[in-house]
Amino acid sequence: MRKWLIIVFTFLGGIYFFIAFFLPEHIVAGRTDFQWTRYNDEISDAFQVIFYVSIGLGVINIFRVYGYQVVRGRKGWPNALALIIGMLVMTVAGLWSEFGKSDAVSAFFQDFLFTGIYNNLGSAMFSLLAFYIAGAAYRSFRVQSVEAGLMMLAALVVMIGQIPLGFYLSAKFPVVRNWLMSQVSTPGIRAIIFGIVVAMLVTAVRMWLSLEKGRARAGGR
Amino acid sequence: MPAEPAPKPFWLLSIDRRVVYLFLLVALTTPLVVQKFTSHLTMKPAPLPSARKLFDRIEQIAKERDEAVRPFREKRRPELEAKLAESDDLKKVTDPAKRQADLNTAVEKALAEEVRAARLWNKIVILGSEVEPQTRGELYPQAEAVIRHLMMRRIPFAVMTLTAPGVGYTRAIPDKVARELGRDYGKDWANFGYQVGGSLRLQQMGKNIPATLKEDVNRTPVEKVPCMQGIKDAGDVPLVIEISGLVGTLGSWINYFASEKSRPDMANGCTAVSVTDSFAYLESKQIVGLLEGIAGAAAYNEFLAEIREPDQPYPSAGPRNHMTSQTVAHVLIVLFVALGNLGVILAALARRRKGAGP
Repeated sequence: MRKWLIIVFTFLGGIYFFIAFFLPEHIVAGRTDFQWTRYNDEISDAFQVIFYVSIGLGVINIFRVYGYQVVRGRKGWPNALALIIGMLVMTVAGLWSEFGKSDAVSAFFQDFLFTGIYNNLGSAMFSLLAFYIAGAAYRSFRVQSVEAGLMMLAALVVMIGQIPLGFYLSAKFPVVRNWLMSQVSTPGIRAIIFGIVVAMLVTAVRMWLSLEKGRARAGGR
Repeated sequence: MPAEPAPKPFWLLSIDRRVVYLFLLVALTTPLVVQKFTSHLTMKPAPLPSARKLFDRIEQIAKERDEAVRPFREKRRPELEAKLAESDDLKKVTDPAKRQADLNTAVEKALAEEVRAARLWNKIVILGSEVEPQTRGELYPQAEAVIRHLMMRRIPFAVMTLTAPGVGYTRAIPDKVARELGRDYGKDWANFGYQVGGSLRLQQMGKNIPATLKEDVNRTPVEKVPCMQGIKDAGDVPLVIEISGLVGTLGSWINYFASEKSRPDMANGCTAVSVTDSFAYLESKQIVGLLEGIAGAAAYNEFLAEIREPDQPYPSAGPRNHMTSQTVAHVLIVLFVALGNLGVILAALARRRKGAGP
């Protein structure tokens, strides 16, 4: 029963959004008394409620998985504890600053927790990318074949063409850089995007028809 | 017979990655520190055509608006000048030049109010701002530059975010620029904070903006926010600017934000690592402009400096300074790549000499 409920609801949800997106609102020409999308707002709201519920489920899941790790003292439990404490503190302070009346709590949340800690930790994580790119460029861009040489040359022109120095060296650098980006890199990326989207379509159809081997097929077990 | 020891890798080919990281750290931070003491180290950013396209599109919107309200302004200006010239405040000013300047300012302000009230140009630009702590370094200056442009030209805009960590920035960035330029919340911009629901939300918004957004972050109903009055659907939006380091958000706007009859122009601001993805949309003309990382923000600020009124502050020098820092870092990377390749050549020559034998 559970298995069939999941299959039926998945199919109905999929076909509704397919119809709502691709077909015109009034299917019969000249008739305006019936709209496919008449209840679109209500249905979309219902799906958003499911999104909200999924956030709640995510929180419960974090407590189950990492709480178990802490209680059992399993390997890495201090990290799990830090995660739970961090989540609780941010949640309480965030809700309090939103709905409470204390400016001190708002300031604590905004200035200390968000701007002081989360902001800097996030920036630090992303800035690591610069170091990895520098290390990878040094190790990878070696002229050991014609293809590698071409790739290195393109990378250098793009790098220099984007910075002020390139413009100072020659006004052609940004032009060549833009040509490489638009005429060489973009077709490659577009081909990759096409590939990804075709694969997504295939996966979506399989999920829509419940052909994917997963919980839906296993009846939730 | 003992085995021959493995050849020692040539040192130019095996520089420790920590050495590379250390050099890069110095290259990035030194210009930033030096710039605190002198402004001579900054370099003019490269003019990026993709950023210019976005700038030109916003200028075009300003022109369209001005054309739409020109007859009304031309009709009302003499009446307002005559009326305001009689005000007590202006009569007190004795210097004729200052008096004329004050009168012009007062007339422009009154005209702006009347134009807004008459709803002669009922449009709003939407700014999707997914500026997060992780991408703050690149996307904050981009959002600031675009918001500055919109505020300089008094083009009303609505800002919102599709990610929870972006909420603080949707408030902080417009507030900062508005303080500098003397703009008012509600009249010049509206903030709708975090919008949950991703593409479904955008699809609903495209069909009916007030019913989907309902209220701004101050819990004011959309209908009562002055710049949102009369805005119905995506047809009333000439441009959506999506500033994001996330994969898929730009695609969601392009795919889903449309009314039955029209689709607004789209533009994008992205991090440097995702430029290649966004370029595909630019080449296919699905977006009309693109800000590429901090370089895009720096180039945009140069364009803003060209149209700045004498009484308006200069755009932030931050992106230009960061570009100088990035220049040094890029040069360092080029040097390391050159060293690596020099190592390849020297190692090959050494192998050849060894192969030739004594």
